Amino acid sequence: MMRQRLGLLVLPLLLISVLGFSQGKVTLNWWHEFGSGGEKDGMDLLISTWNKANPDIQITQRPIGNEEFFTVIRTGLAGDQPPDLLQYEGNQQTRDFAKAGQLQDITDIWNQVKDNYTLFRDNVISGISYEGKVYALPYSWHGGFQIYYNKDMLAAMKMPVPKTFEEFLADCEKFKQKGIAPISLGAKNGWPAMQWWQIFLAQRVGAKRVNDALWLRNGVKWTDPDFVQAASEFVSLKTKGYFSEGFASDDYGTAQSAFYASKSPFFETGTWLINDAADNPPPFNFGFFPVPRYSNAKVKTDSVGALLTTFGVPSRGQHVPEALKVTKWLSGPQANGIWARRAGVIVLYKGLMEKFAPGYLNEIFAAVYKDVKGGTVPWLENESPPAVGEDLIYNGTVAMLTGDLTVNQFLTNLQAGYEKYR
Amino acid sequence: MATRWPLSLESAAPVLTVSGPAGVCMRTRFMRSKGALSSAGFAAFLFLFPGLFFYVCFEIVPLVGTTVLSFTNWNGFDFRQIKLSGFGNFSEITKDHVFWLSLLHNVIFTAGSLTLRLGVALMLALILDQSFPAANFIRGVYLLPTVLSLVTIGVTFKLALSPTLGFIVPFFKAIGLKALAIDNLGNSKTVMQTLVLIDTWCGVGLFMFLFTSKLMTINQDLHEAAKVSGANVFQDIWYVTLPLLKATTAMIMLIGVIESFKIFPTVYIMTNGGPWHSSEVLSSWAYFQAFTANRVGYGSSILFVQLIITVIFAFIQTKYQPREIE
Repeated sequence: MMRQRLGLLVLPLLLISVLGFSQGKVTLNWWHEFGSGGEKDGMDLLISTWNKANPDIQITQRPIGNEEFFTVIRTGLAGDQPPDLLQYEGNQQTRDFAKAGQLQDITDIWNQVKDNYTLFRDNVISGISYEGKVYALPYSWHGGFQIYYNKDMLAAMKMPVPKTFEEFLADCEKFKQKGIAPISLGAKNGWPAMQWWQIFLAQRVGAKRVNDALWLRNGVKWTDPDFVQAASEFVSLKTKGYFSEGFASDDYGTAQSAFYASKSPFFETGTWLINDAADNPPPFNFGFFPVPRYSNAKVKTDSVGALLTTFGVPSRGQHVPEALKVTKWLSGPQANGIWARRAGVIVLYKGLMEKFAPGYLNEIFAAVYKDVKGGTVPWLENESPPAVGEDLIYNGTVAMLTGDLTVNQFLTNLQAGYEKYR
Repeated sequence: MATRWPLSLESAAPVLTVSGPAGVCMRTRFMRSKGALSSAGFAAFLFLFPGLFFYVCFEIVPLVGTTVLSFTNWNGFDFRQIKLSGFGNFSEITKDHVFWLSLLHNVIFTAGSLTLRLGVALMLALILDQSFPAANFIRGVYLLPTVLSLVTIGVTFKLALSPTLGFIVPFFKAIGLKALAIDNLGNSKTVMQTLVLIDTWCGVGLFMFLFTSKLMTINQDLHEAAKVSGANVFQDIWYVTLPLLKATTAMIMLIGVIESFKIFPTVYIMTNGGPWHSSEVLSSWAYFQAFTANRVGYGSSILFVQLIITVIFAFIQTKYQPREIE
């Protein structure tokens, strides 16, 4: 009797679960590296918007810290336990993952929207494709050709915003004479020093030649005279005493804190800071200006920046068809509009920045990037084999500043590294 | 009478077979003790199993895995793409100048940190062996860094030593020690010394604790006898205390060498091996190769070499370990 009652109780539950299964409800897991800030808000809104409209395909997210993000996703992909959707940084990672067969070909999806991407198009294509096929959607583009500054400190010294690089150097000298470190730099992890070097590459070498050197094309070498000039001028910022004292051991966060504490008037980093400053404004009048160029700069049209966020589909995920449906939606104007509105980053989908992006972001986009006529020097480590990008470039740029490497040694190492690892 | 040693765990006691009524009694008694022993054995196995399980999973399996991977050129992206590459990685090691630099740094670090830790710990233990108020409290204070996470220590010291936001450099400037008021972690000439000092600070407490424990077991009559014979404090330490600490010192050195040679968290957090590999150690270089440069096979081979070196050290020290003096 008891058994019969239990059976009567269990049977409906079984039926419900079976029916539920047959409804086809699927849950997708999306890994990304945004734990906080605008891009986390963007992810939250993308996911909630999709989930509301698509009860049969629900998305959950897993934010992973930036430092360990690449290791975690590589391990997940290698161990056949990938997420269903993946955010990553494109460029060399696209090439590595695609070569290993870990990403789904989404060329068909891309072909339907590709005409909406006109700005920095070469960089976009390079960041999302491998051997002629497309494996990711371009989402965030970050630029590195502006200098943020403390307006109050400049006003106290009665200095206008510099219009040429010579004026900028003169301003640095005036601050140095007053015992103030002009430029806050925290290069323990290498990339902030690399970003300063890239500013000189954009002016003295140009994006085309940099890209040729990256890919060992057209006979361009890292040891060519214009590269030597760019590196030498970069090092001169240190020899003149313009960088903060702890530049070699401080990390980016420490340098940003020092800038916010008004220890230095100038701070150079990517466009991601503008969103951070909007959420957590520094306690002074905060501004930016495009990197001023040398009066005799060989290249007056090029900038620095590249794709830094892409969305892809792991080829061995459990729900690839459903993930591709989400990707199709992500490729469209609604999803890109959400990202432009919430993520606080530059979105290259035509027309969306002007329509949706917050005012402060449009300001920097319009002032520095919208009308760029030339190309962009990309984030070098993202275009390089990791042994080159994250050792020879990251550590090497700092080593030039500390005197552990000469300019010629650095560039020779670089050339040899690309020849070995490409 | 025959004794048959069983081969299985189930019957862990020997079975003694004796003919006749007495033999039957003997067999029964032995069968009872066999049952008691096998249940004791099973209980022991149950208690040991969790520790053994974790030891196998987190020590033996990774060790075997790393050893196998050191003979491959795997990039970490797909297990299906693992291919043996023979001794190619080890051949590359011989030409890798950063590997040899890292090895040198490991040796310098081990020698420097161990010497300082031993010396300071022994001195503190001898001083605190005297009975005075707050001796126990002071011992506790010195032991405190040992229980802190190395990551916490690394982050704290990195900030404290920062010329930009820290307090140590301004302090040195304020007291006129301008030679020390530099970016010690960002200078290739001072970074190793700085790391050695920090590591000494972390580890001196544990060594002091081990010395103190041994000092407490030394028979006070020996010190009395030395005193009566006219020995002063230093002679008492040299001729009585130190010989009795030989075995303990050897054991501490073994622990210290193995620990120092495996140094990783403090280097990774504080300098990441920089500037320009001037604080690179084998663990950090292996980590870079495996997890950043996508060369898991090569990184594993570096760790395999580190393991061999550590095992050789341990073997030599254990073989020549002085005996305990009673």
